[in-house]
Order: sequence, then C-alpha cells, then structure tokens
Amino acid sequence: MIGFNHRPVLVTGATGVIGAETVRQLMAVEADVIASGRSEEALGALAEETGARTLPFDLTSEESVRDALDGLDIYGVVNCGGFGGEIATPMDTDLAIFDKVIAINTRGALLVTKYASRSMIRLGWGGSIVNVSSQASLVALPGHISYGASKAALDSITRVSALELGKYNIRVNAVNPTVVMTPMSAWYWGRDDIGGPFLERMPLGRWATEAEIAAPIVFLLSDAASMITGVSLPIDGGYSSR
Amino acid sequence: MTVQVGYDFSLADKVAVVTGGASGIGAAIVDAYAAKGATVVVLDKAVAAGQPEVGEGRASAAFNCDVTIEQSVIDAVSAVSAQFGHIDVLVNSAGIAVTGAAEELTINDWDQTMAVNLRGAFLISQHVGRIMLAQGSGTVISLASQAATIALPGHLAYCASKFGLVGMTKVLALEWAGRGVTANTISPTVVMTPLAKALWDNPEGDALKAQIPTQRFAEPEEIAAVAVFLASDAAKMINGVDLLVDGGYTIR
Repeated sequence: MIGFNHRPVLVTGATGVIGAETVRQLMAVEADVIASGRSEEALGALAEETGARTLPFDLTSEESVRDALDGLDIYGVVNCGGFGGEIATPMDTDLAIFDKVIAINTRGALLVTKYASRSMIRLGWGGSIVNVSSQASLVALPGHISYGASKAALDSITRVSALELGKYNIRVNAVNPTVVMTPMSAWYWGRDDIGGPFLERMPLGRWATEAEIAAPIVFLLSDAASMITGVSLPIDGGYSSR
Repeated sequence: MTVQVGYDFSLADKVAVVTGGASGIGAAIVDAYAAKGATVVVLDKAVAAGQPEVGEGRASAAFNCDVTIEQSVIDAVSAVSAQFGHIDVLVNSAGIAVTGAAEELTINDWDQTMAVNLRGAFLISQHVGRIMLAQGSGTVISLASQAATIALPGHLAYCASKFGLVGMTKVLALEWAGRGVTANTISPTVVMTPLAKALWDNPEGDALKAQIPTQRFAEPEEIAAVAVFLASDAAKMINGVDLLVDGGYTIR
C-alpha cells in the first residue's frame, strides 16, 4: 500500500525535528527524497545519515525558490519549513516578527507550491503536497497571535490549491500537529505552568513524537490517501475536538 | 514515551471487529485488514444466526448481529470476546441511506435511519468500548460521510444521523483517550459500491462528480486504505478527528 517507487519528493525544513523524521520515513518507503533547508552543513549531515539528495534554498526569496525548483522533476512536496516567531499578546506583538512568520510559514509554502506545482503539471504524473500546519490554526492558543495566523492562512492555501490542482490529479492536504517536545520547544512548553494545563486540556494528555507526525504526512503523500484532498488533519490527541 | 510507528501500517496481532462487514465499504475494510495481518470478525445482519460465514473475504469469523437491537449486540460482542479474548479495533460500517424530500420523509424513514446509523453505532461502541477500556487500549473508527459536514439534497435523516455520529465520536474521543481508547470518523464522498453505482449512475451523479475537485467518486479500496491507516500505530496521536475522504467536495 505504501511505496513511492523512487518518485521524487521535496521536503523543506528537512533539518528540523519533524522534517528530518519525515525524510527518514520517506527513505524507508523508497521515495527519492530531496531535502531542503537553509544550512548546507546541516543538510549535509542529514544526507550522510539518510542518503537523501539535498537542495538548499531560501524560502523567503522568490528568486531562490524559483532557481532551485525550475525544471526540477517533482512528484511530492512536504512544506515543513517553519518559524515559531514569538510568544506575545495582541497588545505587545512585534509586527516585524509577524512579517517574518508570515514570510516563512505562509509565503514560503506558497512559493514552493507555485513552482513545484508547475513542474508537477508539466510532468503529468499527478502528485501530492502536504503542508505542515499546526493545531494553532484550529484553536486559539495563548501567545500564538502571529504563528496561528500564519498557519490558518496556510490551511486556506491548502484548500484553494486542492480545488485548483484536483483536475491535474494533484492532491493538497495539511497536517495540524500538536506540540512535539524538542530542545527548541522545551523553553516554553516544558514550563510546568504552560505544559501542565495544556496537556490537561488534551484528551490523550501527552506530547506527540516526531514519528507520530511524520507517519500521517507519509500517509497523505502516498497513494493510500488517493481520494483525500483539501483536508487539515489534526494530529493533536483530540485537543481541537473539544 | 516511545511509540513505534510502522512504515507499512501493519495490523499484525490486532483483532478487528467490522459491523456491516458483509458488503460494500465494510467488506473492503475486512479484506484490507486481513491483508495487513489483522484477525477480522464480521458482525452483520446478513450473516445467518449462529453460522460463521466468511464469504469471499478473509474474515476469521462472522456473527449475526442487528446493531439496532441491544440484546443482539450484547450476544455478538460476547461471542467475539469469548473466541478472541480482546478487541483492538472497532469499525462501525453498518449504515443505511433513505432519501427523499424533507417535506415528504416519513417518520419510519427517520426512525430507521437513526436506529442503524446512530443508535447502532452507539450500542456497538458502548459494548466493545467497555472491553477496550478494561484492556486499556483500542480504537473506534466510524464511517460517517461528507454528509456529516455539508447539506446534501434529499438526505435529511441521513445528514442528521451522520452529524450525530461525528458528535458521538468526539465525545468518545474526549472521555476515553485518557484510558487508552481513541475514536475517529472517516467521511467519504460517494463510494462506488454496487449499491452506489446503481444509485448514482445517472445525470445527477455526473453533476455531483463534476463538483468534486478530483472529478471522480471514491472506490471502496480507497476508504479501506484510510481505515487501515487509522487502525495502525501510525495514527496513535490522531483522536477526535473527522477525516474527509471526499476528493475535496466539502472545501468548496
């Protein structure tokens, strides 16, 4: 059921925790993975570990994305490149940070979609795009004023892209994960006064592992999800269902 | 906490109960689960009483069960429990569709639809759920519909029952997840079972299909593949979700 027969799949943000695990799982089902990120050094380490190809580019630059993707054969895309921004109230938010969050999480994913979908249509193989959104787009989380907005906009891009690309047999979906406890998230979510009440509100009551986020991404990319398009799939232990 | 995630969505060592497993989407799920290594038990009204009948599928056992009658549910679930010891996956696939204009729908149509689609799913989920809670693990997957998200003309009772099923599932997800049992729904568009082919092979069907972004209906195997994913350890963190398998129909 799951198997990619060496079809090329681009993963942005591949050096992050979720991105790297997605690369590993895709390699295990024989995808031809093209790992992308900003840091050539970090990508090199990932390539050494997994055998993935690498393609560094800057998500915030249309020129950089276009130059990297123009003419590149692609079947699948995982838009996993993201920026957490800040924890701030609507009264105190720094609009420069808001702009940067939107530039990476929303505009960056749209840029990749724009140039990747051109290749996918040109090749005529069909295809599948998975946007890594967030639980923060489905429910209000304190402090997530800019991050939530960037991911809600990404969900909308997912739906419109699904509508427009369906006739080319290209599916576009989002996953909306809850928190994965990583060194990068621990400073905030690891606080007892933040993490404790959060997990109490989640029916499953625990943090997700990166493998539990990557597996549904791989599922949505695969032919097992051949009639699923336009969805935002929560991977949140039931947090957003209550 | 370390969770092992299988790349191939294996269901080895799992016991799965599928209501309505004798035909349609349920039968496709039975085949897919068996192919993934699960022990599959069919509960269906179409199975003769006391006569395990595995038919063309690869079910390990089949029991007669009318999901609308509590005693029938109790008997069937007891029989499964006695034979297999545990139940890891429940698929609520038994369902009916009675169509007609809202102002014409009979109370009998309404009652029958609610009895199978909602009361039946509740009864089975409760009795199987007690076994899952006692073992501290399990997952409940219910077949809802795109009609649980949007209005379909002529589907008043059907839409109401499927909206209800999604609501029920979200409460199960809330109440049981802390004790190891998750619950989700799968919501397909029109699925090309023999029954649906007869119903939608007409200009109305063509008009509906034209509104689906992927421009086709779903095949039973495509729903079964999603049911395999949700039953597998790859979906351990997915709970309380209504997963649309509708080619994008509801996003428009």
